[in-house]
Amino acid sequence: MRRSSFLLTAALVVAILAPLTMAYRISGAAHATGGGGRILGYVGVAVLLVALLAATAVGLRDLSRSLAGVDPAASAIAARLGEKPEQQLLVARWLARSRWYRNVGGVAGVLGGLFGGFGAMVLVGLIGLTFGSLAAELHLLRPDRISGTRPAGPRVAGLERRSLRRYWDPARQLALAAAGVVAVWLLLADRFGLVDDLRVSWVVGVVLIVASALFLQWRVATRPRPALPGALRSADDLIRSLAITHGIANPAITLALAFLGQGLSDTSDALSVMAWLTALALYWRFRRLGLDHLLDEPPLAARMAAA
Amino acid sequence: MSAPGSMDGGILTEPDRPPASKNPAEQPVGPDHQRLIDQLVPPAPSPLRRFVAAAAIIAAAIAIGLAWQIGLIVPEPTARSETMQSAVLGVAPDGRHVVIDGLTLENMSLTTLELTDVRVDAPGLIVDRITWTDALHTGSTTPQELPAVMASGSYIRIELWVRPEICSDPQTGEWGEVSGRWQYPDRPSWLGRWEALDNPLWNADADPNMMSSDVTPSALSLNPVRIAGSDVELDGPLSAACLLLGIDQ
Repeated sequence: MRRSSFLLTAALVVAILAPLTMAYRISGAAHATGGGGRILGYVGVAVLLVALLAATAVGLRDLSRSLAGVDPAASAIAARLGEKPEQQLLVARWLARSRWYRNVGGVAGVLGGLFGGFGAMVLVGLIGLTFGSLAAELHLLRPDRISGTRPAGPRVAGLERRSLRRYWDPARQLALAAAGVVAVWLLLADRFGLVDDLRVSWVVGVVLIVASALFLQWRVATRPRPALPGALRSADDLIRSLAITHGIANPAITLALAFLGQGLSDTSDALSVMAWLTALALYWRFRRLGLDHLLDEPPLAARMAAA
Repeated sequence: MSAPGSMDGGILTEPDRPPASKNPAEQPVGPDHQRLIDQLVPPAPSPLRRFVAAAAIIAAAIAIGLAWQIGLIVPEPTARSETMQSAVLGVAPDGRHVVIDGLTLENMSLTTLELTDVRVDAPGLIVDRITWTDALHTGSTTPQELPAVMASGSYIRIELWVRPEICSDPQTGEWGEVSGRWQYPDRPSWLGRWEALDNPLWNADADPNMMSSDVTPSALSLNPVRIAGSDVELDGPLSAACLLLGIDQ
């Protein structure tokens, strides 16, 4: 999957650069020969236009597939995470849902910020992506449609005790908490005149992001579930863990850093730029939920068979 | 990744089972499992419905972004730019104040806005009075107190009446940022916001104007001034105001 994406991108680059180079050389030759190669120059430009149109068409096709929730990579990633079909189906469904929400939020944010310039596009894009990620985890346990016991919910509930600590990643939780603590400290420092020119509303935004993320993480961890067979229970534990770490913590930390960068922009250029660069690096590291690296590995079933 | 239950390093293992197919779609799960999976994660709507939902969300985001930029959601008086004509310092008729005149504000949003307050970063100077006049002279030219209701595209000219707090020790701080408090005339005031102008009042980077030492000026531009034949340099509105009012520094 990743190799084909790379090949497609490389082909597009060649398709654009080759006619460009050709048109440049032909126009140079036409100039040198007194215009004799002008027709060839036009051909080069036409080829360039066709290549650009093709690239645009491919981009629009990929975008529309993404917005329609067509995500073949979700099944492929799920095959790297689960062995049994029901495990893979559950993980793939969660992945496709989460990535669709993120994509829609991110694209909506980027286009919504379009009129505010490049900076607004990046910032609002991150806001949209984070809102999308969080919104993907707002669903609750659904009623049993087949048995018709609506709206009473599951007939048999799992009674095991679950807590956030069971699913979280300590490093991410530490980063999230640190962002919240720094924001609260900055607000207090501003109140007592220890920092200058703090843009308070952005720092309040950091506190809200951290609080929302923690609440949503707790909600995912304690979301009810029916009594499940062992394989599905493991898969459900996995998607809760992924939701809490990759789905909630990663975008929340990224956006909190971006907001800190905004809040400190009049206080310290260095700190503001550092916060923003870290946020952008985290976005890049965890783009598309940060699980695409699994595509480089063979499916779990194949690994199990080999073992 | 922390791995609860039977997860092994974030993956789900079942060593006593034969290997499954690579693609879960090729291995349909039983109805019991399907029912449980539907309960755990809602089934996705059709791609067409998802695409329509995504398009609607994106269209709404674009509409909100556009409405924001043209000032329909929050006051954006300077969505494109604001102009500041060459402001000057002059002695007020009462002889106790200097007037900062020539500051022009424009409502470039598509809605009527109300300017309710103006704030100037001017340490050492006390702003006693703020008045405005219609810069296009389409109405009364008599200075009026704030608030100023400004239709879309209108200009007003602001006058700030200031007096020095102390001239013996002129402070040099962060000079000159001017902010206006804008709100909608017919909406709650908490929807209002402060908007700083791009250009500071005092152009500290400009080359100093030379001034003769035997002339008492009645007005000064808001640039640094060097008095010829002496080491005196007016490096801020405070020292300029003190000079205009004839107060020794």
